[in-house]
Amino acid sequence: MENPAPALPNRIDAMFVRLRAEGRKAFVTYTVAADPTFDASLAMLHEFVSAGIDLIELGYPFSDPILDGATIQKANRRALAAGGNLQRTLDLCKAFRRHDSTTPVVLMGYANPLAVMGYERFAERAADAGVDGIIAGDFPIREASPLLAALDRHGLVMIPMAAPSLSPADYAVDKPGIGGFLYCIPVVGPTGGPSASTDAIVQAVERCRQHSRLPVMVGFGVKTPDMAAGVASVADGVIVATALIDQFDRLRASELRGTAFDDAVRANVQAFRQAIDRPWRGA
Amino acid sequence: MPTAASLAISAGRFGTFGGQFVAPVLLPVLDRLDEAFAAAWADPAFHFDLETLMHRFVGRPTPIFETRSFRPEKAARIVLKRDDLTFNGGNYANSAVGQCLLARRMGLGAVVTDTGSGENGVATAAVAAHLGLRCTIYMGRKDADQQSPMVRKIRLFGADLGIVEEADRALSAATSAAIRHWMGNSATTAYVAGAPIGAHPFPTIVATLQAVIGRETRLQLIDAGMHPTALLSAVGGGSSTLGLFSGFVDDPGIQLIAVEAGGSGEPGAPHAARLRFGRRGIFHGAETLVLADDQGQLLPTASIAPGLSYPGSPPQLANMVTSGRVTTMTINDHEALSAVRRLAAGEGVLVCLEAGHALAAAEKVGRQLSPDSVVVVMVSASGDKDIDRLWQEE
Repeated sequence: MENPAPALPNRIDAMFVRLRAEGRKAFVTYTVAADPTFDASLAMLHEFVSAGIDLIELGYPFSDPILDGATIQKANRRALAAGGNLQRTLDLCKAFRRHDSTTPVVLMGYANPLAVMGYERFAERAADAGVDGIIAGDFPIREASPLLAALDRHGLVMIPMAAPSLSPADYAVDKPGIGGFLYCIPVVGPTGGPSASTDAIVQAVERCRQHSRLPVMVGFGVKTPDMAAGVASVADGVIVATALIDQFDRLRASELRGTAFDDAVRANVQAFRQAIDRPWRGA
Repeated sequence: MPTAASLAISAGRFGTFGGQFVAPVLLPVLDRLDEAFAAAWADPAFHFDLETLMHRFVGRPTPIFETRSFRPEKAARIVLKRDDLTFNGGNYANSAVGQCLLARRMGLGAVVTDTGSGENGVATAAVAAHLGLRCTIYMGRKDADQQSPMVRKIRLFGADLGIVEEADRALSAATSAAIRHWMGNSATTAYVAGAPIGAHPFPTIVATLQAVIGRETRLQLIDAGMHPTALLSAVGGGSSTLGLFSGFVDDPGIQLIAVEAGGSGEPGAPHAARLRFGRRGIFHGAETLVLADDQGQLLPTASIAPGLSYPGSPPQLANMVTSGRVTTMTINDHEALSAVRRLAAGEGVLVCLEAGHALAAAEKVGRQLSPDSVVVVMVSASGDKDIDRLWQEE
């Protein structure tokens, strides 16, 4: 079902190889590029890695983030106000790559900026910036042929989104330009919404595994370190987005600055990391 | 009964426009809707219910009406298609009735939609009340403040009205809010598209239901012995425009003119003329012409007519414009306001500011034509909602 492994595995595949050898699960977070500024965002990416994040979903700001709840909508607005956009997100990834050549970076956002930049130009620039893949919330595989062809030409992949209600034909697709992992969403509705039950998560992950050999990461609704630990016990990775952004928002609103702020960010991230790495003993 | 689906070149695509650019979780919902609509449209019982409500609840057919004094000297005759004479929501009733009947047929107990001018909100709230469906309407704060009669009417019909304070606080933000609501509740709730925009099958469903406007107008013009030179309609979401044009698109001798909002008309000021100035992009579920910057961010739109102030366009119309079948004109706020006021004072007909754009464009077109030629103007709804801005007491 998967593409044959390329001669040089990309950063996402290499990450899973490493984690499997270590007996660990992936910890993924999401941040919007240039939220609240380009420089703060760059520092945050490096902070994530040193606090134990394995893969970064880097949101490219969009004026109309229809798949997102209030927290990520606000993050998009802050980033837009700071001059963020798709090109600046590529610039940010390129700057990040100067000091980090191994952590996979997956862009995450919406179709319109890609369409307006042009799929070929986007794929070329993204590859040059050191991007590894793309998740576009409103870009289903059934519409993606021109984008997939461009991604494949430049060695990038689109990460398919899987949901329990989807037919496998809409996510378990064997096609050049598709790979990395399956983004398994066990709930319906925008980001930052309600959480799925443990049973629902287990079933959703099992269904993904039945239809695809890609690693399975679970996102949407993972709010606490305990939930993350539960997800890590069944999936190949855990994606925590809104919960951490909410925590960082509170930190920014607090009086913490400088190293005290950085330490607090690190502590929040590490709480999830430790939970994910801890042997699972049930909820 | 002919359907506007024949306008589609392939499933969900109109030329290279259209498609299904939605969160994957919505794909099975769209697939079910596509099948359910096809089955309903093939079912005489569905047509019986639809036509009964169109006659007795909406008040169709609506008449055509020739103006007498509202006509520049030595210019073409102006004929109005009077969907302002329907009950509840002008031409939006056509698609709201059909989609709410479909929701009931699919066993869904609730509907959600968005509204800019308030018309789609009123239309959906009214028919939902009649059919016993729970109804949620999203409306931007700016639009709600400007059109308070519509807000009160929506609430009077028992709908739950969500006022959207985000983004442009207008139609675009209301649409996003309604789609988010639907995404979280699609097992129980149908999204009612006010316009032939969005992911397949919505453009086809709405255009098919609105095609009644074109069918009626065509027969009425033949009956009156009139052969129109041009048809004009203001484009908000495009429901009345596609509805009217669908009856004439195969008559190459008849000009079809989509009229867009030019906003204040000042250089550099925001407007809503995306068929004319937009670029190819992907917005609210479809590949279409959008007003966006070179980084793909949606641009703010502006118009005195809230129903026209939207950055996306219907994919069918984008295709008709790109292929040259439909031409565009731009009318600014002042021209539309003036046309509405003069029509009211001169003819006793009060049309909405949206239709005022088509009316002002018809005057310009009419001046270029001989006095025995006929231009048809789509009146999508009445101007009652705009009274606060049309008339201020001294």
